[in-house]
Amino acid sequence: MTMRFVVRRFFELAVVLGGLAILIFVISRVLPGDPIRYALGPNASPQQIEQMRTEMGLDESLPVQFIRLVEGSIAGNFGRSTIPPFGSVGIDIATYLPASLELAFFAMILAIALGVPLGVTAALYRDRWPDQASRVLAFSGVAIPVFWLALMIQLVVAFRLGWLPALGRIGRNVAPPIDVTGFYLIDSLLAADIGLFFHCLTFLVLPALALAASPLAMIMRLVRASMLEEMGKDYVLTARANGMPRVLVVYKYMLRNAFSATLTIVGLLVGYFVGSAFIVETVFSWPGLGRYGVRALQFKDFNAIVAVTLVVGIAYAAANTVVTVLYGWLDPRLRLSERK
Amino acid sequence: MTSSAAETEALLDVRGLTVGFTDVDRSSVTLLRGVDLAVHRGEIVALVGESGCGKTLTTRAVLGLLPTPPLAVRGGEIHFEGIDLLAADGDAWQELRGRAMTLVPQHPLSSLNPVFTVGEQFFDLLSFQGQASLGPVGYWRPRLDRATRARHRAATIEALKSVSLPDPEGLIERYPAELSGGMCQRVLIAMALLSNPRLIIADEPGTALDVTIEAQINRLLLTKVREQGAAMLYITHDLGIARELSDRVFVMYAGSVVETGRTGDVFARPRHPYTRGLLDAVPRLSSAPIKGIRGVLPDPKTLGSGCAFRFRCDYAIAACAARTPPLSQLSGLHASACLRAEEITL
Repeated sequence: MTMRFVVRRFFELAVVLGGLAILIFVISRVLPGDPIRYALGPNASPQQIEQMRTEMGLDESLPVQFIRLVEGSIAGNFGRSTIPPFGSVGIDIATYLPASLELAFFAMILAIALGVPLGVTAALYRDRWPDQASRVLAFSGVAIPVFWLALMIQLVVAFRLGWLPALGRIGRNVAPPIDVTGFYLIDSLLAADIGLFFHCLTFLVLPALALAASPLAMIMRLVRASMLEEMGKDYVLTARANGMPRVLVVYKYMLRNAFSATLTIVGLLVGYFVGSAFIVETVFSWPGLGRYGVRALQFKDFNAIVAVTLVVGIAYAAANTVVTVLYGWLDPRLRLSERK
Repeated sequence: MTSSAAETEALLDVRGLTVGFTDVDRSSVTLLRGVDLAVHRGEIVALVGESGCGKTLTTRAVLGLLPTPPLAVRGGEIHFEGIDLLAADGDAWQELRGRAMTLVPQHPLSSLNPVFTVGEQFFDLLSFQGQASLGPVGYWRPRLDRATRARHRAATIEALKSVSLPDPEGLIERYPAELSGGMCQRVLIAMALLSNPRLIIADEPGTALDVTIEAQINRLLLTKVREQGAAMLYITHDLGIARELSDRVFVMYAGSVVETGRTGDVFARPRHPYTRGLLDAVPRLSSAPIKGIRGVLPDPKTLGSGCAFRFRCDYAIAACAARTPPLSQLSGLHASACLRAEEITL
């Protein structure tokens, strides 16, 4: 039964991705400006242009081009970059994506791990000082633009105080861990190199903090509101009257019910993380997909733009599928209604 | 209101309980205006009155589960087995709630946690009931222990059987949304009775159910309470049920008790105009139009001093507005808070 719920969600995901592929294909074909002229510059000869057009498969009919794109996407082959050093876009993505994912995951964990308990505390101490303090924190988190926050964190913590490194993902003279997952934190642990783990962590903390600030604030406020709503529910009173410990009632009985709304935000935040990652990665010279995407846009790197858009779209759709599956786990009523 | 010998025996003794809150305009609003209430060991006591008269609020205060703030206990005393509940700390409450006194709630369908199975909620109750604090280790230890799991499972099945629920093994895996209101209430009764509490507070346990199911639930409650030798404070607005179930009755109006006595006495010879009105308002299958009480419950903000019922009372005189009449003993256990209880015939 639960299996059917999950399978159905993944079927929906496939449909969404199909739609996404069509959308990206159409947009990339109707976009003004010929990518080949951009790539080759104003002095290119007609032969050169024709040759590159053939190389990129742009001389084929549109349906064939679309099938090429789908085939390539599945195989991870997005063609060549149109800007120097003209490398394979697929390989570029494979190089930069793990760095972005690591940053985004770490920021997400930071936002949830801090936002949820702070939100619960704010609800329990409604209108008293912990609530007021969290409110100020939350408004600042949402109101401060991420580029400014990233710069300020970098300026103060890295340059002025010198506590943590300001740029990059790993020290200049440090060899990265053996590539297993592409996540330096996990790979260094797999290599049993604790020193390297903490070394990589110092690079990760600041950009993750800049990226996590706004989601943290949102999660905190949302958890607070949902917890306040749960407090008045009948099951809370009954559980307390039956002698259940308060900690259990708050952190298990109420939080499990209150978390559904937060989960929605977490799914939507993936979009936010992508948008902000473009900024944060640029500020902190984080070698991720965001920085790669910015460069691709600047130089109209046709294949790279298509690939980055597709990867971002897949990440967004996949995250929301995971969220929907988690909904079913959080709230059995959703699974039960599916059965009927 | 009761003899001094009986008072020393009282399991639950509420005196002059006053509860209120401060409104947004900083004016003080009093919701419970000196409630006097006692429940003795093994006794079944009904607390009756219209919706909004403070019945449920009284039970919340007794269970120490008033939403404070905004509400606050302004005065009075609550003693349970001699313990001063208004002075009890969190640990003392954990000792009492669930184990010594417990609640059968008003809305069975929403009183079980919707996201956990019946079995899981029983498991938590069996593992952690009465504990003042709980850490992650304490939480996981019983869950990871096979013997504990088996023992709790057996105890859960036993408890579900004891309230005549069919297929208890299957029920353990069910979520509350899969159960009917009557089944939920049976599960809740099984939970409430798990540790043989001395006092069961039943807050309109059948109001949300069909009439036939309500009768079943009341019969079950009565049987179980008698079986365990517990006392029950049964809250209801249904006088028929109060008469059928209870040994003694307390009639509440606008935040205070206006009449009390043995159920038979109060129903046969009510000594407060409000009780008379309530009795006349009970619909009967055969006879003519119901009389009812004119007017509505007064706004606690504009009540002032004096008898709260004076606005709706056919017997009100000038003296009724002068001061709040205390609950004064008429004969034996029978007491009324009517100034004219002795002179008028109802």
